[in-house]
Amino acid sequence: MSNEKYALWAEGVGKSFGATEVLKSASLWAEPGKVTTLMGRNGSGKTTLMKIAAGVLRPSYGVVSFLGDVRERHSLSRLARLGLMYVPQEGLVSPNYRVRDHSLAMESVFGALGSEAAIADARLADLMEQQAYSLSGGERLRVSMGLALARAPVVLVVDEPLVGLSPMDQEMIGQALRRLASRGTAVVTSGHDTRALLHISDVILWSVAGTTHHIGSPEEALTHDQFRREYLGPGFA
Amino acid sequence: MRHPLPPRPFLDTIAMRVALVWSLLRVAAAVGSAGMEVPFPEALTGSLTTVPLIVVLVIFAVCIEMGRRAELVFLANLGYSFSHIAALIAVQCLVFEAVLRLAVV
Repeated sequence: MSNEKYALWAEGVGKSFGATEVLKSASLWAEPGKVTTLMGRNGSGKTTLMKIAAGVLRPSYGVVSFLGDVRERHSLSRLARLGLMYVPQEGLVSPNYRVRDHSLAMESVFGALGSEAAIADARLADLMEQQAYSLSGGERLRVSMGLALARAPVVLVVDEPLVGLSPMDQEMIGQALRRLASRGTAVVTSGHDTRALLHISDVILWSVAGTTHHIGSPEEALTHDQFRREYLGPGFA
Repeated sequence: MRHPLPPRPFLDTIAMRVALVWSLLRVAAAVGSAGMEVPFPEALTGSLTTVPLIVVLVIFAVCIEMGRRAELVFLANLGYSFSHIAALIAVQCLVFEAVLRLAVV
């Protein structure tokens, strides 16, 4: 498969922790302007694959390419300088600091980023002076999305952004991801909130038993026999 | 061009933690040395061979805390690698070691 149209491309990735093989020949592609969602059962290796793609973990084998260049020894810090942003499941903010400190730190490194508009988009104005430890899980993710909107990265890898959120927060996070994609960001996400994720996604990848399958569009996912049978379940409508 | 130092207040917190951990380790080493009847000022400064150990322990302790508080992943998203931060910590420790020796010897 050609990787030229993908901003981030991980192919044939394997990862073992000791004797436990978590990934075997898994792949992940992120196309500019699209939201790609990795779905799969708990323990199927989604988070590990996303961490490898973002440079947080090194693969045992396989290739990761970012902006067309194969990265032999890629790391999050190197990819971040080139335009990647990674948001872990617990969000990006550190409990020691105010929300504004994170925003200013990002501005000081990447320049003026349109933070005011991003803050309005993520409805963060009331949270800016709060210490991050006092934020709820939903607020932490909203702040992370606000930072992502301000940064407007080339690739955003965000792990399980909708987990444990109220429908209203899910809607807000989903809109933020769509807005980033509409500005050209290649968004990679994951999770189990199937309806909400199908609603915001352009491409579905299925993570199963340490590998991945390209399912296609959300419409194709809903009519994919094996995906319906083994992941969505027979009652999913 | 990216600034070599992480932005404030993240940098301030790193510096404060390094100062705290380095001080604790130096005090513990001095108490231990005094207990073994090592004379002053060697009890306070220790031998040069203890310096790498002190530096490694400070890097380890500070980075564990930064990882626990999600600061490492945030700074990595700003382009600051673990090795970059470890190098900053090492430099600060070496400055403290130099100042201690100049002040005591």
